[in-house]
Amino acid sequence: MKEFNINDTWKVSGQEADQYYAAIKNQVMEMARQRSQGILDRIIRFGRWELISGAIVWCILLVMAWSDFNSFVVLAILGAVTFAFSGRLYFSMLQNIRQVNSLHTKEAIKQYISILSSYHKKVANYVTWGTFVGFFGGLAAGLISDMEDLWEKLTNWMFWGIILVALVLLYFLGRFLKSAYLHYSIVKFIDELREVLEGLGVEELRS
Amino acid sequence: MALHGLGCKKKYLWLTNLLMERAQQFQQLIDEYNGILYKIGRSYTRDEEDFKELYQEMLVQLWSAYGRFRGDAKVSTWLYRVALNTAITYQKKKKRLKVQELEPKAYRLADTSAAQLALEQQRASQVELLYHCIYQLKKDDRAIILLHLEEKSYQEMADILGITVNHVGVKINRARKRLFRLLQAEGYERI
Repeated sequence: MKEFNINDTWKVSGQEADQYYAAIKNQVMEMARQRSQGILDRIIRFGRWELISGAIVWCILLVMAWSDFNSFVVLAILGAVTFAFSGRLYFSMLQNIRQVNSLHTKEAIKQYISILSSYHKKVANYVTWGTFVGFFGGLAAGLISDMEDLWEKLTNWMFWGIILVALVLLYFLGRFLKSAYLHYSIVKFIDELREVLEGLGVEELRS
Repeated sequence: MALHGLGCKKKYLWLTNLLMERAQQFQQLIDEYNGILYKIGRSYTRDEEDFKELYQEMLVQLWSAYGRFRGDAKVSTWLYRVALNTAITYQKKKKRLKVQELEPKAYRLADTSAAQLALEQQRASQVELLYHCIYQLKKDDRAIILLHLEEKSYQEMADILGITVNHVGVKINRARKRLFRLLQAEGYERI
């Protein structure tokens, strides 16, 4: 029977570990960073995707409405109002971000989180009110376009019943879609910035 | 809603710098504790391919968890916990039972001179045998033996594994006996 010293063997294994690490050290961060590098890429990709797809959808809608002058005008006005509101929100958010002094990393992240959180709240309110204003605007436009049956429709309980059901559905569906979309477009980036901030806090405590 | 504003040059540079800063801190951490990853990786895999895959997975998991680490435990405790959980999960995912023999020098990357070759080979084969025996232990025993060989205190082992300190003692004795039996079966006497 041969001798076997576990502790000595384990120490040799430690030396092997060092040799292995020395050989792969340059690749380590590349391996580990794969996911986190995605924060930047995803922000850039998402913004690009949002702008391009928004423009394409808008063009398609305008082309579809081309044959009907009234619809085209309504769509153009709604589009102009939407762009005015969302553009104001967006550029004000950008301006706030540019004003942040990024020399102090932790403070800068805190301010970015605060700006994006406020932007998120405003966009959420804007989408909620915009949906209902759009709904009633469309309803009013529809009613006005057919003035002959107007009084008959307004006094029909079935008509109001359908409106009520549509409103309830719109409320819940709109709420769900809004929350999912805002999470995908803004909230998750805020969460990731929070994680980075927490990580920095820990480092500060340790150092 | 277009967040691409954050992608303008200044913000891109800022975030890149921030990630670089974190990456450097993480690199320092791995510089210090790389041995843990190696040993866990070797104990929970049977071949080089799996070992490399697990090693990378542990790094990725640690990097992901790094931002959430709040400093409420020792760094080494946190690192062991994440790495061991990753190894155990990895093994569950794999569920591949390979019975082939391990090549003695499968993991060795350093050059060895001719004079030292015989000694190195003997040591390497003993290391292989030790990992081979550890691998045959149950997954809980494997974790406790690893920590025991790393000379962790009972308290730290309890923190890492989430068990009581009294239980640590019992588990160590049991795992050691099993490991000794395995080594004896391989023809070794004094352990």
